[in-house]
Amino acid sequence: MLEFFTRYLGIFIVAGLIALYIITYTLNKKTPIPEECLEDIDKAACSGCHNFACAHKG
Amino acid sequence: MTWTVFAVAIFNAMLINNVILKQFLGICPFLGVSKKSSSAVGMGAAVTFVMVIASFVTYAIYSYVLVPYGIEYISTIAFILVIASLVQLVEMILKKFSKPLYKSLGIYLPLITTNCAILGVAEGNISNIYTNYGSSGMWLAVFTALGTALGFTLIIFAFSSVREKLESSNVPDAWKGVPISLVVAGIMSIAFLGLQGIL
Repeated sequence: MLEFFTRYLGIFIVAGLIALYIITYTLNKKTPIPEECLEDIDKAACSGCHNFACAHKG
Repeated sequence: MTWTVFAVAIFNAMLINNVILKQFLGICPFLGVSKKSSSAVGMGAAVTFVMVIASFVTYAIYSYVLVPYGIEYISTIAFILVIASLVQLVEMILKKFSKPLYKSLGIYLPLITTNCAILGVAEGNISNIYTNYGSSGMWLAVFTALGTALGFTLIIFAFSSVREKLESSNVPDAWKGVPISLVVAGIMSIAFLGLQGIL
């Protein structure tokens, strides 16, 4: 049993990290954006790359 | 390790081996978020914040999980996932507990997930510091990350200041916008070559 876990430990760790990413992504999406920041995000978004931080606005 | 070692690590990472001008990492935000100085400073602060935390976490995972079990070969994919998760976590914590900080850094955080400079520093720490110092080099890795991030902030801010000046300068039509920006970036890169061999 221990040998089985040791052999596939790399796969388990990657799977665990993917699960961790999915959990943090979901929790982040569910956390509401503070009201005072909504205005900034709307102003920054554009239809080019949809990246808030990009300065190349159309 | 003495404080001199940490000071040298910061200076070296910040100016001599600058992440943008010497290693050519993080070019996307360097060109994309450098039109306004305020955006450049915000991006620099966000990168500093994430790069230092990510370096600490990735170094710890490599030292205490990947090496002991002989699975170093998954380090790159593990670091990518760790950095992506960390960015989500940091964004969520800022949204919840530090609204002023989220207001200034929050909009730049999604871009950091795909910033190769963060992954480059994490991988560089492993190949340069871990091979020489082992798990005891963790603080050196953190200070190197801090120096790298400060170098990133310095260059992106300097570049944005030049671009703001260029907006009101009499530049020939064919050179306006991206061409003159790339020329400026090239000249800055050549200027920083003058720091080679200072340490």
